[in-house]
Amino acid sequence: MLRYVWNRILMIFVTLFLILTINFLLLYLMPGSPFQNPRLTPSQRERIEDKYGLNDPVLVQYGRYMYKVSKLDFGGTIATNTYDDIFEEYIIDRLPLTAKIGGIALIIGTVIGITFGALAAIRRNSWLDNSVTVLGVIGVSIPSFVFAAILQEVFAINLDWLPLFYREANPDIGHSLKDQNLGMIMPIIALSVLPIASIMRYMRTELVEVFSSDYILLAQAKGLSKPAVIFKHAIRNALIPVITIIGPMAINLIAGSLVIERFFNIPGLSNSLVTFTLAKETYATLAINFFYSFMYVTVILIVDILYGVIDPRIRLASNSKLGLIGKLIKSIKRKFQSDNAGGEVNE
Amino acid sequence: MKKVLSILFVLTLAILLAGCKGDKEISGSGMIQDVNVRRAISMAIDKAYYTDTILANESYPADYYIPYNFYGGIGDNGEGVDFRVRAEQVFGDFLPFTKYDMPAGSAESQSPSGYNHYNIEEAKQLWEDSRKRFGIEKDETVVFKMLVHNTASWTSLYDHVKAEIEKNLTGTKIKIISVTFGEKLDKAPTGDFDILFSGWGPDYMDPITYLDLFVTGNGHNNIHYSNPEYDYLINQAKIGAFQGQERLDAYVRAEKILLQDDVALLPIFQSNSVGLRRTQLQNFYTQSVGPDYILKWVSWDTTDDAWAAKEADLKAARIDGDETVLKLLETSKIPDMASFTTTDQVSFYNLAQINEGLMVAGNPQSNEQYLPGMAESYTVSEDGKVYTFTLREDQPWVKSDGTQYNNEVVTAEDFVFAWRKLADPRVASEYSYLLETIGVKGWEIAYEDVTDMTDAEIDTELAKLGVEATGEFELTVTLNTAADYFLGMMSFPSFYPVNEAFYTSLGEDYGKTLTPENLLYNGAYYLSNWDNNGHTLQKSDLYWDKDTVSIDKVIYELVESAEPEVQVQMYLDGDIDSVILRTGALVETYGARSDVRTTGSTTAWYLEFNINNH
Amino acid sequence: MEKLLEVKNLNVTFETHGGTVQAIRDVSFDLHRGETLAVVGESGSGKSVMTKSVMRLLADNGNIKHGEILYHYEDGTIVDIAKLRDGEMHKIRGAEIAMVFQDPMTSLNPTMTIGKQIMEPIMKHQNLSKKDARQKAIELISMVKIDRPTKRMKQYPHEFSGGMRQRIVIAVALACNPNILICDEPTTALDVTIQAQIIDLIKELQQQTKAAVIFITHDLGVVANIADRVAVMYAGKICEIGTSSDVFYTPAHPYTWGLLASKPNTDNLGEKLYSIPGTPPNLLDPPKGDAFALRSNYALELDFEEQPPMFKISDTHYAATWLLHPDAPKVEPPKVVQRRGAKKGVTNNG
Ligand SMILES: Nc1ncnc2c1ncn2[C@@H]1O[C@H](COP(=O)(O)OP(=O)(O)OP(=O)(O)O)[C@@H](O)[C@H]1O
Ligand SMILES: [Mg+2]
Repeated sequence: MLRYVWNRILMIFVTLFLILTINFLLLYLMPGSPFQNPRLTPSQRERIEDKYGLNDPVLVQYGRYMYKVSKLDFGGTIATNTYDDIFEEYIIDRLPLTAKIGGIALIIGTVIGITFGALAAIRRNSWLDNSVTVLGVIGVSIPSFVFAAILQEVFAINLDWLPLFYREANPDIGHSLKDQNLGMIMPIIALSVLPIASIMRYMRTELVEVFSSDYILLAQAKGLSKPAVIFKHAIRNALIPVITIIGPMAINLIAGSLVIERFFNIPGLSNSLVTFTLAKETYATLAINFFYSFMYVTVILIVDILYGVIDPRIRLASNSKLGLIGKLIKSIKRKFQSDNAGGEVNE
Repeated sequence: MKKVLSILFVLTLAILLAGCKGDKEISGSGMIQDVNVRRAISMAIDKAYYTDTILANESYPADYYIPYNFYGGIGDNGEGVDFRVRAEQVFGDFLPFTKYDMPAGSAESQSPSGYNHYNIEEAKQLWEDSRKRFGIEKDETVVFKMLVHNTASWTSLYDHVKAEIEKNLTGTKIKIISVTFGEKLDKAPTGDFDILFSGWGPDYMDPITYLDLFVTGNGHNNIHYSNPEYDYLINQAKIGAFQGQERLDAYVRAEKILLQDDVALLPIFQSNSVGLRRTQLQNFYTQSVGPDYILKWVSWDTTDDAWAAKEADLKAARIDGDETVLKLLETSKIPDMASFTTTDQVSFYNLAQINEGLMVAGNPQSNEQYLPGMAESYTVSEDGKVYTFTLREDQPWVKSDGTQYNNEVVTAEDFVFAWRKLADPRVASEYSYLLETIGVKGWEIAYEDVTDMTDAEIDTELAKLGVEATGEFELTVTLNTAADYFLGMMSFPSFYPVNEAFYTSLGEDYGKTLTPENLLYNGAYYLSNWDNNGHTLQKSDLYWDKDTVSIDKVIYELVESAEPEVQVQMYLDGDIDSVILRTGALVETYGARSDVRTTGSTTAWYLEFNINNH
Repeated sequence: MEKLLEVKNLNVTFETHGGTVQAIRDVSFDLHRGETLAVVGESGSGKSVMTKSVMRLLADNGNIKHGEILYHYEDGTIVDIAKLRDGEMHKIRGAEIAMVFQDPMTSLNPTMTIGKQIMEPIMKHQNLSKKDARQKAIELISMVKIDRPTKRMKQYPHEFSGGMRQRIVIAVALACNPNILICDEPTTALDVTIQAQIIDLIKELQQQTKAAVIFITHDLGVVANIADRVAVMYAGKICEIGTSSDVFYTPAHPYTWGLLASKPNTDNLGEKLYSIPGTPPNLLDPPKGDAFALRSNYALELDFEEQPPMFKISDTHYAATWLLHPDAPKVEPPKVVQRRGAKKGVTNNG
């Protein structure tokens, strides 16, 4: 397991390196300059670009940038002094809100998705099952911003129950914490539609398949009650494949938040991404892209590890490939366990 | 069989050739250098259709370059004169003036127009004649490349222009080359276009800010236009050779050369915007230069009649408390409040409220170019190159709690320090180009390669910059050439004073986002609060002209890139007091309300023809 | 012999999109304490459905339409499984009747330790403490002849070979000393050497536990080896039932003949193996008469008209074919089958 994680982390580094490199080159090739003030004459623009090293050969710029990144310095905005350190001042500042909204949406999506998917599978062909199927199709086929627009129209404009967009609590301007929390409801709902629908559908399919498997029959043949069969045997096995899609789901959320944040004016990570990209603020764009990629690969790693934890086939299959440290840890663990269990282990 | 095949082959060939012939396209880059071709194109476009039907936001169709409502100069009576009014006086008899119907409710329901007005018959005639002269065959299509930037809101304009030209001038084709704004900046100077879409707003209150662009060799003269008479008029005006009415008329003549004689530009429209604003707000003047508004002038109508019964809550919140309050919307975070490095409109706008330069942009109502600010008075040397400013001695530096900083007042040294920062190659400020624009002696240091110089050496070089504290309250500026718009530029934030001791105590963090305590204030307001939700401007009791300032507190709520509909909703909810209706649909929905108002702007939008005669 | 299970006129149907599948049609048989009943028949003949009905483990779309499944408790009480409430049924499953499935690769929960899976029925039915249940589970693992039982407890199914897994399934089944053990083709998915081991194990354990076994198989060789009695199923019906020797040496139903003829053994060695022509009937719309008539060389006209009743051949031997009717023409079973019968006579007499 440990070796496995190590390998994955190494892969992450390689992936991130490639992402950064490709992104850098793409942005380099993108025409224009961060100095887009139309009042600068071409020669003035060139002189100021020279000052910022933007006219150096691409390899020099790339090397300089990568050297800085290797020291975890992602640079800041070029044409304005808004962000000296895009990572500290922008990403760290905005990540919590993006993560909070995305995280809640994912949790809600997972919980509701799993619950209703499971209920649909248990009560197959009931009205509940049929509604789950229909809602599932609707949920995956309609993009989240359409939901966002509908929600805004209904709950903010027509009914006036919820604020039209997100506003941070600020007593000076007259916005309470309640306003802030209310403002998060619609974005979260809009974001969670896709995970709810996908996970629901997936869970249902998986569970139906598990129900038809022999080991469920055996569990029933043991005389276990229906709830025991469902909870002890069926759900867990159905969850394993479902977990694999939670990863992509989280990634979908990251992508979805790009649109949703703009829709509800949420000052999150993606808020200025488009602006930065259009303004050819290379470092800022790169840093945000890098961070998105980083989240992406981390989510995949977490899902893989989680998958290993929950599915013994993977967990143990990789045991044989344990590295030195892994073996050491395992033997210590075993010793500890056998002490507790009265030295039962005989291998 | 063979025979059939060969017949088929010949037939196909013939069809192909015929097809090619009918489709034959030739480049228009030669023809565009012909003045009658340019005139034909100019007259072929119905601009009023674009402004009134497509935009429908009360923008003016323009047959002129220098916008309507822009200060032209001093007239014979010694008062400021609107440029267009004077243009009509001078050339009204000569020009085939047509009167556009201006939107009802605007101050002038008839506005002068003029050069190359929309006229299909004449356009067609000019075009056919030109085709003959150039020997263009009937079946040949002339292709003009139009370079534009791909901002979504402009596409309807590009399409309109293309459709009009292609419809009215037979055998033309407009090939739209759509690139990002940044890419357009790169591409325009290469001259790889026949027609270029551009816009220009003024830097200072003098027609030169527009006219200078097309002087031979100007960095913005992407069409490589050159006319000796035009150059003479502008360059002489710049150095102050003409004064008063003479100068104004020189500009009017120059514009006529540019538009009527040479048809270098095809003006399209002067952009205006429609918005909603509390009817009780007074003196919310739109500035034609620099910041959109100067809050110093704004006030609430406090008479009871002004407030409707249903506005009781609003009234209570705005004027009935301890302080009068104005609430406005900010759609992007203030990027950078260090006056000598900042580059964007939001920062400039806010700096103009909290700091003050030598001059203050004139109150638009008074038609004055500029008013004294930190400089109480000034003198100019004989040759117009040396300006000596006498500063007022009683303006304290104010901290973000409204109290005085270290007992310090604004001195000449503060200007010297700020200007040197602007020019400092180590700071590499984008706006150092302004030093070149006004021609301050020694501006070249800004672009010098100083990698091999020590800090002391650089400082020595900087000391040679033409700005000097000749007394504690006396500032002397030396220019390379006389340029009397120089004074107008002194209201621009890049030239504001900065307190050196305070700056040194903070270093790089000076003026940084979200840190009101990292700034010192010498203007009508100071930043009392600045966070991720917005910022608050608080009236400064230590401001020399504080009696003019009416509103105590201006609260800006920040909703980054707020959708236009959201913005309007905020206004309707009473969260903000002024909003612009940014889409046609919004104008349609709310355009009839009693609190609708049109905001003029002095940005000109036009097409440039690639004349390349130089 | 003491009756343990009486199945009477059992009819099972499945509702499908195509219509109602009559999977079990009027099946009756008895199972006695301690005996081994083998059920043979082509694929789709209803063997599994029949046994699953006994466990009440039919798929959601399955119904016991008609008939009784009487289970005799040791204390003499008799319940009709067909009508039992779910709660009661949970007490029978695993405790009174247990089951071993065909594919050991899929019949264990992949995410649960072996120990837990064995302990589950013990804890459910026997009220043992966790510790005792654990002990019992370890015993069961050694009982099915797997070494290092303590270690095995903590392992997961994927760490076991197919044969070992089937042993575990058997251990699970025997965990609560059931009176009936249903083995639905327990060796089909295993390779030949392992098959023999598993069958021996079942035989051995049966002797130890005195459980009655219903053993479903395709392999007639296995039947001869293990079964006291044999039921032959065809198209949802039992077409012949009797002791092993009844069915093997004096088979009466043409379908049984066909089955025996198609099985390789010492008697037909070297001959081209017989295969029953045609395919089984569609149970969505079963034929009016004898379901096998279409494929039978011995079909009488009556076979197409009317279902043959169960004819009694001897006290232990019954078959459903009109050939047994006193008026029926006398037909000779195929050569191979005759030779078998002769052989039996020899053995018996000798
Ligand atoms: N859930 C179900 N829905 C519809 N039909 C079913 C269902 N289960 C079984 N059947 C049908 O019932 C009949 C008997 O099936 P069963 O599984 O009992 O056959 P089997 O004798 O066990 O065959 P095998 O030797 O292949 O295991 C088959 O025709 C089958 O198609
Ligand atoms: Mg079966």
